Amino acid sequence: MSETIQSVKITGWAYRGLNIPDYDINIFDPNSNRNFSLILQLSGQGKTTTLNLLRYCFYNFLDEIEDKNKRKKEFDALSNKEKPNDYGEFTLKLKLNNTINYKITLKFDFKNYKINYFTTAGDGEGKEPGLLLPESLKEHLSSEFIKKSFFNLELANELLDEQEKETDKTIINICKLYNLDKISKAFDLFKDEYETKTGRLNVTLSKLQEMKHTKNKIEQSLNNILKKENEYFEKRKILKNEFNTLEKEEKKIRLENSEINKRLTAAENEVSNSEAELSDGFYNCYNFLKNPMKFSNEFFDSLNNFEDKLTKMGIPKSVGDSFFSELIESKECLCGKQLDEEMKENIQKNKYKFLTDETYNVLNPIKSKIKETKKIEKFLFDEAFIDLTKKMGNLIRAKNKLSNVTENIDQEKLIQITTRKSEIEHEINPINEFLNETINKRWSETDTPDTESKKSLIQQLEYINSQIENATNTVDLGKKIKFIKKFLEEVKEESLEEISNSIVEKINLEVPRVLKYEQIFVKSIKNKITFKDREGAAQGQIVRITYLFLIALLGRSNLKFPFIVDSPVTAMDDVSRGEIAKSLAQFIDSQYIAFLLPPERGDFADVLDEELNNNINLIVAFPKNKFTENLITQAKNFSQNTELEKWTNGIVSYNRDFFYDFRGRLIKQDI
Amino acid sequence: MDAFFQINGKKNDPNFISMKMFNEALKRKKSNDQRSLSPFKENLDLFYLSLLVGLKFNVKSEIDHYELGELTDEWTKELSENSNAKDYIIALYLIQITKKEEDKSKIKIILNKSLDHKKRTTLSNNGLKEIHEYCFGGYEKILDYFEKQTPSSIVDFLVKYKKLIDSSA
Repeated sequence: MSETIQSVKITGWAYRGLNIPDYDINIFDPNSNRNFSLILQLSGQGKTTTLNLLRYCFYNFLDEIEDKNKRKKEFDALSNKEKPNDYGEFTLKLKLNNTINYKITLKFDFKNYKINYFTTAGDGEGKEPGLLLPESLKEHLSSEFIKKSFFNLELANELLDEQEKETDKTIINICKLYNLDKISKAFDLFKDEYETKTGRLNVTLSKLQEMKHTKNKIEQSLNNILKKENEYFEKRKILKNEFNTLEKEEKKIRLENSEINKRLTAAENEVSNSEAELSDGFYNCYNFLKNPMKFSNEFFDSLNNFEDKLTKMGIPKSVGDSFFSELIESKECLCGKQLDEEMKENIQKNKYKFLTDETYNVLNPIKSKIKETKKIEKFLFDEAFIDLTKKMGNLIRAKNKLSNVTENIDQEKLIQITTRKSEIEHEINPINEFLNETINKRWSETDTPDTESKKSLIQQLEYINSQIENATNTVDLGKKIKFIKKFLEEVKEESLEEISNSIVEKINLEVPRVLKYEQIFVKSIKNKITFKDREGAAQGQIVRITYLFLIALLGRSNLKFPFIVDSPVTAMDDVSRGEIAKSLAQFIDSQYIAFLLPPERGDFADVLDEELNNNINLIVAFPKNKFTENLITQAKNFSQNTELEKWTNGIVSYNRDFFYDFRGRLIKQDI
Repeated sequence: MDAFFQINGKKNDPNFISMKMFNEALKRKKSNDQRSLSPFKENLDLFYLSLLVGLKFNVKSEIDHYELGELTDEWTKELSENSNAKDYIIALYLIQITKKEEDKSKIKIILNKSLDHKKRTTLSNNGLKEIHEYCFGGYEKILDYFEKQTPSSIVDFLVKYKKLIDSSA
């Protein structure tokens, strides 16, 4: 199909043999102008799983997981626990450009942990194996694009994390700025081919092949490092998100258990104070060592003697090289005598006996610093080091006390959280080391393609490229391509900046309405979101800014693609919910599907419903089992447009009144 | 030589503890031990401390004995702008190389040969080479003092280092 795809809409999906009931969800689109759908579900009944299944329909994320155990874990999370099957199926129905029907079926093989894709194009029944979407759509569907289009609000924290540079990454992916890198790469490939074909070699063919082999090795190694870097970035993001979630849970438990909180806070403060004292002690000692005149009488005396000696000798006094050059060129000496060749030669020979400007400029400040340095009592230096052992002892005792308090808490969940937090810290350390240090290590002459330093590999690649250019007489071509690549890089940088500025402008225009009681304006979104005149913001405010960021960004894309959100307004007060609903209704012109928890419904669903003049799908879905008997009873009161008996193990309702009346709390009482 | 180098290995000595390894035990990093509080943020810190020992005990070691890894071509901010460490250590080096000389012009020749304001290290190539010899000599002395082992903690390192620097030559 050669038609350009400008819009994608989801018209429904179906689960079979998965850990979600075997029902269909239909997303109605009368007159092709209904963009909004809210699906109400209780916690643990498949919201996040559905979000992942929808993601997998466009990009096989599971195939990218190399670790067998992790892959197994992801597949296990999808399989039906009550009636285990070897296979499960998920089918997504789409409408492209509001006219062409497409069906994507994922067949999960739970024995071999594989997904098999099938595609049905048009209204026929036949399935073609594979994910066969139109090319013009496929080029949009990078993993990052899908992740941002189908997101949960963990992204909010990532956008504020400088280390992750998530804002830039998001813009580059959604606005497809990575295409500029692809163009750069195409020039490299062209040059590579040209070098092979050119007959004008300065080296033997075997020597050239050897160089090409080295280049391939470096490129391969660089690709592996870049892959590892991406994997580590992802892994770190996941770990950080888990850590943040644990911290929130911990905070909640501690607030609910004031006695535990008091004991833990006291023990933690002791550790933190002892750490600060030891850290100060370290700096104090190192500062002494950085000033040898202060900690050693021997150094103090010898440096002062040295300064004296130089002063007595009239050093430094400099005579610049230019003085001698001018003298040699002139006809007569300073004393008035005519300069003959022999005298000029002697001046040239002996000028090194005078201090040069270069030496004077180093020596003079050193002399001043020696002069300025005062002696201190030796015992102060000794004490600083003796104190270290004492401070270390304090820290050990404080840490032991904290682990005693932690171990004796009769809150199993809290112990689990503390243990997992410490595990995460251990897991993150080597990742940080790799991302912050290993890949940024400076190039050294002895480096080989086996190094894990990205910097070194890039430099090695530059070096071998210039060798190949010399060997193949393509230096000129190399220079031109370098120039074009630099130009493309600049285009990417400038585009990123321009897009960022326009997004900031759009966000700030909305702030007075969406954050009306405490207006927080965005200063920049370079690498991360930063605010004007303040460091951070409350979670609810961050979430609102994230929404504004995504609305502004997704609005730029020339493809109208579904924007799907899990728990869209958690951590927001009623005013913010209402204002976000208004922003969504006003600015989103692609499809919006949100998986809602009942507490998120008030002040959000009703506002959206009103803003859209009821042109919205309001859906409730839940499983049928002994724990949901009360929900089933509730559903029976709203039988119109409710599929009570259609599905054996679940109920889906399209009844608007049921959507607003649905109460999950009853389950708890019943249980 | 126009940059600072550290020892990555010693020729013909596979068991040699490199400065790279020693730095692992000292440098500040996110960890669950004292390194998270370490005052040593750069590899050049160990270079400086080794140089101090080398100059104090007047011990040098040939550069050719080692496999080197480049560190940086300038003094770190902590050793230059934020402290006077760079100036003191260069002065201590100059004391060593001029101490036997009383002739003013000969001293000037030595100084001209060793210093260079145009270089980011403020040392000429000759001066930088000799500084490395003192540094590596000092590092060997530190290793001997630590019984060929990396320090078990930052406290362990600082306490032993002080004892070493306090001891007489």
